[in-house]
Amino acid sequence: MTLLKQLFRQWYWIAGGSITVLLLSTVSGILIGSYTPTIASAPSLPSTCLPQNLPGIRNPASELKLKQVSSTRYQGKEYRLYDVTRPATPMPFPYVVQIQGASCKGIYSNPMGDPDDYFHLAMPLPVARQLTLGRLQAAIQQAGGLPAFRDRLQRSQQQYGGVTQMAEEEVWAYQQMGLALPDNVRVVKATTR
Amino acid sequence: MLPPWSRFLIALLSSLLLFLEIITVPQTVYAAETHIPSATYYGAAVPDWGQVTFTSLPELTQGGFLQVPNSVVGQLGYDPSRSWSAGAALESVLLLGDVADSFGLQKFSMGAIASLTGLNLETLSLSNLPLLKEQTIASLVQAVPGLGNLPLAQVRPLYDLVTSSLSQTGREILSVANQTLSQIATHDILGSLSVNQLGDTLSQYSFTSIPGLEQTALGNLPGWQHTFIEEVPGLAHIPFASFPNSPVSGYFGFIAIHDVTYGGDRFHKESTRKPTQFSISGSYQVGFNYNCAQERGCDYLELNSPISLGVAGDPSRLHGARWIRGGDGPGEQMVQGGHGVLGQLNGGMEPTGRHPFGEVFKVVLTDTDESTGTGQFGLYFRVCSHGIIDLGCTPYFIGPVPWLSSKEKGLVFVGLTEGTAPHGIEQPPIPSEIQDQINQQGGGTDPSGTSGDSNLCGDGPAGVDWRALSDAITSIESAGSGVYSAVGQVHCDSQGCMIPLGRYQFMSFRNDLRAIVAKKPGGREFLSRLDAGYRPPASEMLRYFPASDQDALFKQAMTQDIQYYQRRGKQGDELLACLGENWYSGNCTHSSRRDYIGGPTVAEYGQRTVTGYRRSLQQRGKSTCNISSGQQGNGKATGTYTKPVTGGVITSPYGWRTHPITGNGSFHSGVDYGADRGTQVKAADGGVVVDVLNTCTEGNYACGGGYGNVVVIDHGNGRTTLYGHLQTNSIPWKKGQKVSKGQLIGRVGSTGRSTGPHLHFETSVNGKTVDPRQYGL
Repeated sequence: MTLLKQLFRQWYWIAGGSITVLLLSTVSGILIGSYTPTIASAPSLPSTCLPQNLPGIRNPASELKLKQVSSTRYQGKEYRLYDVTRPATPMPFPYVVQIQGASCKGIYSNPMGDPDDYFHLAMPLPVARQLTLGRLQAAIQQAGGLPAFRDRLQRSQQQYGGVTQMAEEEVWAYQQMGLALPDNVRVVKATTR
Repeated sequence: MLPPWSRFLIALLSSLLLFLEIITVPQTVYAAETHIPSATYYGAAVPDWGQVTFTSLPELTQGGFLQVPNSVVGQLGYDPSRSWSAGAALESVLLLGDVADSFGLQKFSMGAIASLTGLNLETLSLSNLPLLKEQTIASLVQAVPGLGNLPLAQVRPLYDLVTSSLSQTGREILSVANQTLSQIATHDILGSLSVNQLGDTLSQYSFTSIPGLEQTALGNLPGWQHTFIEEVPGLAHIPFASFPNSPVSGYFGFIAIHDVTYGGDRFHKESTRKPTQFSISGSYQVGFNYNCAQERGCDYLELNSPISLGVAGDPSRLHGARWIRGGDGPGEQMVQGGHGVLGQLNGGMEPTGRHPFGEVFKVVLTDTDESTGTGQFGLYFRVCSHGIIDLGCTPYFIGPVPWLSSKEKGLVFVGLTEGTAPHGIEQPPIPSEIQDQINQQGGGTDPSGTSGDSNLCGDGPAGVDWRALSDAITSIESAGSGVYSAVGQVHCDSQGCMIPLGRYQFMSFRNDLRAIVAKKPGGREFLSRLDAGYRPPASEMLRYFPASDQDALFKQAMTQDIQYYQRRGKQGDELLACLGENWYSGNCTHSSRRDYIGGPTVAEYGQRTVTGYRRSLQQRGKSTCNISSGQQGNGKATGTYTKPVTGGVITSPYGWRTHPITGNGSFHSGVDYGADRGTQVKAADGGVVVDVLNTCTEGNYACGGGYGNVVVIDHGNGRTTLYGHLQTNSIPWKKGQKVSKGQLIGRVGSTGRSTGPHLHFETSVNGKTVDPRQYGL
C-alpha cells in the first residue's frame, strides 16, 4: 500500500510537472509568436535565387546548404533570411533574398564574415528589423529559451565594460524581446532608404 | 744554421707559449642567436615582417646622442635632440617624426591600433597618450572630425575642463554647456585651455570619452612629431607589415653564400693587413662598392654567389664580394652618410653596410668571429624630415639593434646588388630556383620587362595605333631590343648626369619621369644617385620605373605631341615623322642635324619612325584593347606572398571574434586592407587566375556572393589567394590567364557587401582559409 502511494505521488508530480512545462512553453510561444517574423522552414529556393558568382562555387544548388532563419513581407515583397553553408567552411553566412511574384534576387550576402553585419545597408529598415528579430528569436531558441539567453547576455555585459556598436535593427529587436542592453552600446543608425 | 737540439727547444718553447696563450686568452664565445621573428627566402633567413614589432627587437647595444642645432630645430618645428644609453628599447629612442616618411606611423588612429593589437580603448585613459596633454580645445576641434559639432556638455573631459576654468571666473556654466565645441574653440581663453590642465584627473576619463578621437590619425594632433613610439599605447606591438608605409612588403634581391669570415679575434689578423677589395657595402652617398680605405684593412665576410648566367656573367655580382664590418672601432669602417641639413649631424658619417630591406634602416655587419666562422648583423636607424622645407636625413647612426647572424656556408640575404662584378673568379653553376629568382628580378614587377613586346594597345588621337608607335620608337631606342628593363649609358657634363631609362629610353632629367619616380619609396634618393652618375641594374630601375609607368608616360607624352602637331596641320606619315623627330631632338625640323655623334640625323630618325610604324602595322595589324585581357605573366609562384596593396592598413584582421555584448560569433575569412578607391591591387604571388568577376556595381550587397568584383589566383600546391570588393571593370584578366607576382590585378573598390573602399584579401590552403599573417602580410 505504501508502495502504491509512493508510485501515485511520483506519477502525480510527473504529470503535474509536465503540464506546467507545457503551459509555460505554450505561453512563451504565444509571447514570442506575437511578433511577425517566421522562423519555421519555408519552401526551398530555386537555384536562380541562390547566391550567385560565389568564388569557388561552381554549382550552388548542389554545393550550398541553406537553412531558413526568418522571413517577412513588406510592400508586396517577401524577404527571407538564410544561413548558407559552403563545403569547406563550417561557419554559415547570412544571405537575404527578395521575392516578388515569380522573380527573386539576392540583396545581401556576407560570406566574408564581416562583423558589422548590418542588414539596413541593403534593405528597408522595417525589413531589416523583422529579419533581425527572427534571427534573434532563433538564437534564443538555440540558447535554450529566453531566461537562458538573458542570463548569457547579462554575463557578457558584466564582463565587458567597453563601448561597442550594434545596428539600429538589432537594438530594436532586443527591445522587442524585452532584453535590456547596457548604456555602452552605440547605435549604428540606418540612413534613409 | 742552428743545431738540431736548439731547433727542438725552439719548437718546444713555441708550442708551450702557444698553449699558454690558448689557455690564458678568454675564449671568444659567439653571442646567442638573437630571437628575431624570421622566415626563409630561398633558404636565407629573413625577418618575418608579419611578426617583427618594435617590442620584438632586441635593445640597442650602444648609447648615443643626437644634438640638433637651434637653427635646424627652428626649421623642423620640434627639437629631435635626445640621448640614449645602451640597453634602451628602440621604441623609447625613435620619435614618430623620425619615421614619418618611412613607416608613416602618424597615419594610425588609436582605433586602428586597437583593432590590430586588441587594445581596449574603453579601459584606456586619456592620460595614457601623453600627446593629448599638449592639446587645447581648439586643436582638438580642428583635429577630431565632427567634434566641433557636439555641444560641450556631451564631451565630459572638455566640459569639466571648461567649467572648472569658468567657476574661477564666476561665469555661468549653463550658458556654455549647450554651446558647440566649435564655438568654444573660437573663444580666446576657452579655446586655448589645455587638456593638461585637467591634471591627475585626466586618468579618470576613458579614451572613448572624446567622441571621434579614436578615429583621429595621430598626425592630426599637434606635437605628434616629438612623441616617442613607446608613448603611443599598442604601437610598438604592431607588426611592421601592418604599418601604413610598410617598406617591407616581401623581399627583393639576391642571396649570397657566406663563404669565409675574416677578422674578429687575436689569431686571425690577415684581413687587417691589406685593403679590402670587391666591397658590396657602403652607403647611399658613397655607393655600395666602397672598399675599406683604412691602411690596415677591415674585417669582413667573403661571399660567394650561387648565381651565374654564363656570358652574362654574375648578375648578382656576389661571387668573391665582401661585406665589410661597419663601425668606428679597429677593423671597422665608417663612410659618408646622410644628406641635406640633417646630413651634417654625427659628423656626416655612418657605419658601412647595406639596405636589403629598403631605406628605413641599414643592415651593418657589427661583428665577425673568424674562429667560429660567424658574422653578426645589426640595424641602424636615422632621422629624416621632408616637410615643407626638406631638411634631408641624418646618417644612419642610431643603433645597433642586434639583428640576424650568419655562419660560414650558410645563406645571407643581401638585397639588390649594383656596380661592377669582380673579375677573374670562376663561376659556379646556377641552381634552378635561383634562375627563377633572376628571371623574376629581370622582369621586375612586370613579366614583359625582359621581352621586346609592347603592352600598349588601341588608338590615340588621329587614329595613331599605340602599339605600332611604340614598336616604331623602340625599334630605334633601347638598342632595338624594346625591353622595358633597358638601361642606357650615363652622360655627364657640367650640368650634371643623365641616363636613358626603359623601353622608350626616357632621359632621367625629364620632370614627368622624375615626378613618377619620386613618388616611390626611396625614389628621391634613387634620382639623386642617377644625377650623380649612377647606372642602376635593370631590376632596380624597374622597381622605380616599372613597365606600366613607362607605357603610361609614353602615352601621355605622345598624346600631347600628336595634338600639338595636329594643330599645326600635320597628318599621316608627316605626323608620324614629327612624332619621331620630336622624341629624338625635341622639335620637328626634318633637319640633317645629329643629336649625338654617331646618331641618326633628325630627318633620318623621323623616317625610321614612319618605317617602323608601317612595318608593325603590316606584321601585327591594328591593335585592340580588351579590358578582360591583361598582359599575361609567367604564372610562377615563389612560395612567398607580398602585400597586395601598398600602404594599406589592416582594418579588420583574420579570425574569430565574439560580440562583447550579444555573444554572437563571426569568423572573418580574410584581412581587410583600408586603402583609397582606385589603389592598385597586386598579385601576392604568381599563379593562374581561376575566378574573375568584373561587373558588380557598388550598392549591390549580394553581387559576387557578397565579395563584389573578385579575383582568385591559384598558386599551386593547393594555395590560393582571393581579392574582393574590387572596382567595376578594373580587373584586366580572364579565367585561365597567368599572372606574375606583383602584377596589377585590379583596383580597390567597394563592390559587394562593403561599406567603404577596402580590399578583402584571403589566403587559402586546400580550400580552407588561413591567416594571411602567417605569410608575413
